[in-house]
Amino acid sequence: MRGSRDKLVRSLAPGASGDGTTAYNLEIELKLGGRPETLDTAWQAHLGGRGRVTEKHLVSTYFDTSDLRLQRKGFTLRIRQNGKGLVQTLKADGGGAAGLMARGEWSVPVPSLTPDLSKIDDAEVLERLGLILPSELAPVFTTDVTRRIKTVTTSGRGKPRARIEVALDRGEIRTDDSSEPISEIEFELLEGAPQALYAYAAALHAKTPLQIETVSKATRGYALAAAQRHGGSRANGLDLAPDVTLDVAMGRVFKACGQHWLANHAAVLDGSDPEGVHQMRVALRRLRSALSLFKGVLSPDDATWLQTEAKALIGDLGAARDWDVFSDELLQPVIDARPDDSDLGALRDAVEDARRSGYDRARAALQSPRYTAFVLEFNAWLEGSGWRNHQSAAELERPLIDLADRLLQKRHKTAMKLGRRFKHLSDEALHELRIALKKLRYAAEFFASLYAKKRSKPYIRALRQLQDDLGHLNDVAVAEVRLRGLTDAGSSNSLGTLTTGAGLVLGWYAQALEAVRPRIADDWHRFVDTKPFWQQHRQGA
Amino acid sequence: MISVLVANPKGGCGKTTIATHLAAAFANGGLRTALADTDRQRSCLGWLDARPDSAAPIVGLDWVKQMSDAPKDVARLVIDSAGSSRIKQIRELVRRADVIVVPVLPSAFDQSSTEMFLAKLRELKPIRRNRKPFALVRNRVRRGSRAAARLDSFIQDTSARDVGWLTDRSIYNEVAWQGLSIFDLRNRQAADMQSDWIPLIRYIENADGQPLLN
Repeated sequence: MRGSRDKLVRSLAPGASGDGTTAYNLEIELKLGGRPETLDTAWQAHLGGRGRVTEKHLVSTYFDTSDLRLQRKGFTLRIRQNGKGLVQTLKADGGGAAGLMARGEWSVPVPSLTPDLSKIDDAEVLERLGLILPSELAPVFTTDVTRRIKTVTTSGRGKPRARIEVALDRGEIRTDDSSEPISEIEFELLEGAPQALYAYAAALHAKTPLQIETVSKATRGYALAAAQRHGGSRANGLDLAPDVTLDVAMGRVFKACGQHWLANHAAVLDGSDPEGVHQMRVALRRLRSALSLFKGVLSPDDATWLQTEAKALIGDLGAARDWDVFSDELLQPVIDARPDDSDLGALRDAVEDARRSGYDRARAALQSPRYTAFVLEFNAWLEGSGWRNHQSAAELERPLIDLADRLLQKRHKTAMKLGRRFKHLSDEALHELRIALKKLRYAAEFFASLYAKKRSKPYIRALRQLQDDLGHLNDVAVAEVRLRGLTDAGSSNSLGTLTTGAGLVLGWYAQALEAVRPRIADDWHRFVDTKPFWQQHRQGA
Repeated sequence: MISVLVANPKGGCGKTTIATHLAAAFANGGLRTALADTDRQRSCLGWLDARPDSAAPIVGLDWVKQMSDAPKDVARLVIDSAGSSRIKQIRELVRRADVIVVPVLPSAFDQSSTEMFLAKLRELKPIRRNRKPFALVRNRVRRGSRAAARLDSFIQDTSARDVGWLTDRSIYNEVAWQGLSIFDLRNRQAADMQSDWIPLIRYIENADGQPLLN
């Protein structure tokens, strides 16, 4: 039963923790959204049949202080009417500003719609909450849903057996002056292997297309009440023990990539923070890099499938990212220097249109059946440690550090070779070097925690600096290609001004790049002089 | 842990009332709380002696002769500074505090001595460098009075953070005799009076997040 006991929850939308290494019995949850008619179809056609369905009308009012302290500390506080009585639940969601705090739930019956924090007797929680006077807590929003629940059992034909509670929620989120519909299906694993949950959802999605939903009702309520937007989020550091096995390391690395990716799902759909699209691309490139690092251990079919899907998605996000970079980092400084230039003004309008259609494409990609299938199947593969079907246990029990040494050395050598006679490299050669360095950097970041930080830090720092500066060259090169596309597509009456504006911006940076080149050469030599960290003392080994 | 220093060398401005009330508010909120007394009159410690066993517990710290560290599991430490503190002692108290609260009364004498004290505070490095938040709270205010209006403009001129006012009520005195505060009472009137304290409490409680600057 939901809300009736203290529990720890792990959901698809990642919090800061939840790497699966805690001793707690983590609950696995997954949410899919869709239009009400679609969900009804899914429910009736594919979830109906056997099994008892319970229906509940749940009205939950969420409370907070006027400065939203509970939310800032990573808590939600609600009182839920479920027909029988009122239950107050304080949840620590592990996300938000709470950093690495544990997730948890504290539920207690209350006599009225007045929250009472004095019923919480957990000293650690009280200290995180701090002093909140009863009169400070006011309703922020209400969720009003009709929930249909049933339990399904999966089994047969090589599929792992599992019991899953499926809940269909229909209703709305309300504040004083606005409302928003709720229409989603929640899956909660009651018994069995986590992969079964994703496999089950993937099978359902194959029959009735649904969408990934990573945002909790509470987060949506706050967004509605306080006009909050969903921002992008960066990768959490990966902390691998020096003696970690290949098997465990792959699980951790792929999981970190998946969490980083989905942590930016809502931000891409929201579209107001450029970090969202950027970070999702970074996550997917890290995933691709990990796939190629572990290529020798993965089945060729799995590797090809995941590479293809990740690459396609990176491509779908490309236009949005390229126009973000061009607009914010290249065009804006030129406009700041020449605010009255009408050619630049026309270019900016055209770029805004292009950016908007880039975001439309990104959003469409995230709402496509292909994306939902990719997320679900990737998670099923990850939770089921798909690589174990292909590799012997003995191979997977080998220490990662042996492989890490070899892979880092290989990628380092490739970069060194491509960078030879650095000052005389053509643009194409520099581009190739940049890609090699990026792969090296991802590998170095994945494996850094296996080695002494003192050694890995200077190497990664030098690598990052070099890559950032090379990135400027690339930004301008990308801008040139994108602008050509823009002027080619421009209508005949606007073509003249667009071409002039574009020429102005590109000319501006052609100049600037000449000044950057010597710095990049310095970066390169500094990097070459930095000792690789993997050939030196290993931490704890 | 958050430690709050209640300071103003002017006697009778309500330091002890504010310190004991803050401590009782924290303790009633389920936070393990200590109250440190630096005043030779030991008013806070006397208040703690009178405090009934049934009330939310508060640990007393006698800092009259010497300062000591609060017990490790304490979540809130409230420090009541002595009436005529020397700058050396103030400096040490400021060093130990996360937030400084300066009570001020609606009286001309109080305002000018508060002004001198604020000038002294601003010479201390952590305050000068904007690293320690400090706030003014009006005490014993009769709302709508001319004195209250003068106090408003005084606070605006100091550019210190304004954390509201505490209304003049005889009940503060009555409960003090029993070692209690309005945060220990469970009635309608007490709940109304507690709302006076919300801006001050929010200010203190937010000190555990991003630095709050004036």
